[in-house]
Amino acid sequence: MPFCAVVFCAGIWLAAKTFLPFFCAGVVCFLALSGAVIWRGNNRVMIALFFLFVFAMGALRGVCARPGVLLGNQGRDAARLAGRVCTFWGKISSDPLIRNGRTGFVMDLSAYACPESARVSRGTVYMVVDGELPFEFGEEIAVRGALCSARGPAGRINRMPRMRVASSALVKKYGAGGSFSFKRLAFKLRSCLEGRIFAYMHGLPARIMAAMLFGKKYLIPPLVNSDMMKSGTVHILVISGFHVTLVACLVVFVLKLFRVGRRVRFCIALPCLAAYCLLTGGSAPVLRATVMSAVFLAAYPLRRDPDIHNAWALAALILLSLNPQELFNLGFQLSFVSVLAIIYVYPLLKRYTGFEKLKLRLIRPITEGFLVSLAAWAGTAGIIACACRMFSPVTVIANIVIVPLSSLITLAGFSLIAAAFLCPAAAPCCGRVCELLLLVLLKVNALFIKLPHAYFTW
Amino acid sequence: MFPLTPQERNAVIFLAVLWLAGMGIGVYVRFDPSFRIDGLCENEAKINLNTASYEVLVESRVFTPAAARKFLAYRLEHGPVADISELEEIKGMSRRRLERVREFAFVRP
Repeated sequence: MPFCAVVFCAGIWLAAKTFLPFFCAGVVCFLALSGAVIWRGNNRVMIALFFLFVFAMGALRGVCARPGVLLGNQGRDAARLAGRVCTFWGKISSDPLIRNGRTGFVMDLSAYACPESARVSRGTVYMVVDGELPFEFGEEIAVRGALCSARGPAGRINRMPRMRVASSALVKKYGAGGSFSFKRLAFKLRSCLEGRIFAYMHGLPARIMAAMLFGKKYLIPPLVNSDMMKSGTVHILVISGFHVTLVACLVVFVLKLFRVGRRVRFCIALPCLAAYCLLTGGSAPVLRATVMSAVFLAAYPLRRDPDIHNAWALAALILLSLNPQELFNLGFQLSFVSVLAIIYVYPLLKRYTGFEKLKLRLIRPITEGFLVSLAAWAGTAGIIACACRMFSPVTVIANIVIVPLSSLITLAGFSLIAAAFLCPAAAPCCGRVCELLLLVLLKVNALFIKLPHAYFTW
Repeated sequence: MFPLTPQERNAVIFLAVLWLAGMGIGVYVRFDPSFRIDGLCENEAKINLNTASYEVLVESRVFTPAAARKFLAYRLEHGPVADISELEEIKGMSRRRLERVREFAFVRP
């Protein structure tokens, strides 16, 4: 299955880098599948044709998701309407982001009207409105303004047209309010939980905690972000597989406290993970970790042995089937390559370094942490060097210290939220400890990047 | 008293340590009101305008590259900045940029 995922990725890459027509990819797909069925008696031929089919499916999916291939009329409308004042009707399809006195959100269009015409439309527009709007995900609004030019820098056509609205008075709510959706409920839950964090923590520590627990990375100051990138530990500031695994373990542990049976525990943990995934915005690392955790949790009730290689491949196939363009997303690449490196490189390192023969129980977690960190660094160093123009040798050692510290901070954060609801008298104590731990994290990180030759940029 | 598994015991110990540590910090803050952890964290996340280099100014996104050059020229001419409001004298320093500077920077001789 991992090879299937790699072949699928190759198909998407080919579709993105060439002008492969939809018809060609479709025909190859059909012929490969037919051939695989016809020659099912010959294993080698059938397997080869099956992989060709997977490759062609990847190419087909990549062609469908390519910017400029219009399944609706978005591209044509955006180009024609750029610069003209129109009224747009639609629904807010992302959690509105309020920053620097402006509100930004994605809007799913349903119709527009300009002086010459009015018509039904499809597509999404990224709106930036001056002022703070009290709107929520799923609400139906009407906006008056002009789309920005369809072409961004270097003449490339923007995948998502943008609109800048100068005044919040030009945005009106209509309709009875958004219909029920799990995503809307998840965002409301997130706001409620965030409110608990900001009630018992203050200033920067509160913002970092909200970013670590709920994925609101924009709350982190740029300097903190760049310092963490230099030490190679920026992954702790975003929702990643570690957080999802922690949530899964916490849910299972809490249910175990109430003596719930193992099978029921795992069945309850699955929707909790899905809810956490929705709550945090469902980015590539979160989805990857959720799918992999779901495979492991589902294995026990289904009486199957979980396999990490297949779990990794399934997560990749699901994410790329939903959005093939994720393949070119740095977060997706780092998330999957780091896990792949840990799966394949870590056992090799363990065997050839001889650390597994160490008898001291206290040293073993440190050496295992070092090897995992080294394996992940080895897998991702090349990608980071190309994308961020940075090479960070201090990453391996920094991760051994900072990752356990961040896990402590995350546990303390979840304890704060639990205390806020169950025992408000203890919540201020949890809040102070969270703030102290975050201060220690920032200080330790600053120490690591001050080491000689800690990182190189160009 | 209550039959706890080793994991449950560890969880109880963790929560007890969290609570005790929080109480300890609360007592310390009562004796020394100037000790503010969030203030100490803010210092780690802000740059000192009087010592920051061009790369740090641009990296922290407090200034654009052009604004960073203007600020460094101003600092070279007038010496260390005593207060952020002095930056209003720099040409092109809008109110919005000044707010951003206040949010992400401090001044210390």
